[in-house]
Amino acid sequence: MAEKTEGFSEGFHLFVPKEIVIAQNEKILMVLGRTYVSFVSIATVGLIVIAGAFLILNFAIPKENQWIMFPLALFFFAILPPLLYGLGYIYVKGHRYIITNERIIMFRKFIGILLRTVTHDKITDLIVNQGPIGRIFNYGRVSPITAGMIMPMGAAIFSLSGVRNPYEVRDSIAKLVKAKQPEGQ
Amino acid sequence: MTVEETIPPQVSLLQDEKIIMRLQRRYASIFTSILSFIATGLLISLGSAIRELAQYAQSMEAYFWLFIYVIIIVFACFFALMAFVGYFYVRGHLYILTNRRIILFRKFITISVREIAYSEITDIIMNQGPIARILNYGSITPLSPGVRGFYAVPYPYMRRSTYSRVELKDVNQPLKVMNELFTLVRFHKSA
Repeated sequence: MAEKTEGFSEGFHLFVPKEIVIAQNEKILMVLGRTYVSFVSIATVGLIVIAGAFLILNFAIPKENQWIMFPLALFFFAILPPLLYGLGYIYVKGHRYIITNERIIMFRKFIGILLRTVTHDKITDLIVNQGPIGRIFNYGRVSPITAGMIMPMGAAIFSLSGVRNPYEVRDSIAKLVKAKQPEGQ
Repeated sequence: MTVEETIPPQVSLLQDEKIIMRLQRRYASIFTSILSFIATGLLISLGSAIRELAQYAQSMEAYFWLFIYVIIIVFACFFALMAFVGYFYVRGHLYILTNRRIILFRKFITISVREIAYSEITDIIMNQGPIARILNYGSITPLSPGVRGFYAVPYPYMRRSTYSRVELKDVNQPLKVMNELFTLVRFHKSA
């Protein structure tokens, strides 16, 4: 019999989504969210690439077709950035990572719903990835790898992306994994 | 008719094995598949069709309307055919959760059966698209060390045709099923 956990979980400021059901005797240890800066960095890099392509196009396009540059500039520099950063905020807020004493629940609600659950005893590897901006702002991606995933495709699977203090999160998960797995493994 | 009687002859239950849940694919899901297929087809063919039309720019209007009519008729026929075939395709899917394992059965032209013991499940992934959220259906993928690689990627655009054989595709109330599945995995782990 499973019980439903709604509202704020004890000791955490993040909300546990109503879609997540915590089993009986299962205890929430950590509720994590994705940092907005992790999305902003990706979106900004994308916009810089678009700006570069726009600049090249501006020089390459014939004079008689130059008129097209104004609506394009309007879209790419006035409409797209607020749209991207605005939607990105909702996208980031839709992420929740819940670590319980039994499993890790990775949840994303944005247009659709994606939910992945992994029990601690099935985790074989823990990978932490930090980009250059992630190193400055202290966020990263923690990927719990299981025998059901094969690399490099496994790297694309839903993980704890853009979490603060990724090494601390990794250590917390590693402790739980060690406690759950039999001696010698 | 009991639950045991409704299971296909290709599926045999072990002694003392009990069926906990019997799931079927939702027919509504086939329409989203058809629509996405048509949209992809349109996107691919539209460019070349416009180029073809542009050659006859003198009598563009007549060709334009002919083109529109042909497109509507072709896609309406395709939609009707897919909806008809899709009905039997969807009816061929059966997922059985017993007290020992999950049986994924698909019978449509060919037969495909996959069985997975709860103790072998490493990850459970639930995926719901925007229309699936409204209609409350979704897909659940129980991963095991035997099913890896491409199949593990939960994003629709990276799926392969055989993906349907490893997931409980488009079942009703996916969150409820997922929780039930986790409870069963948990129970088998502690047993």
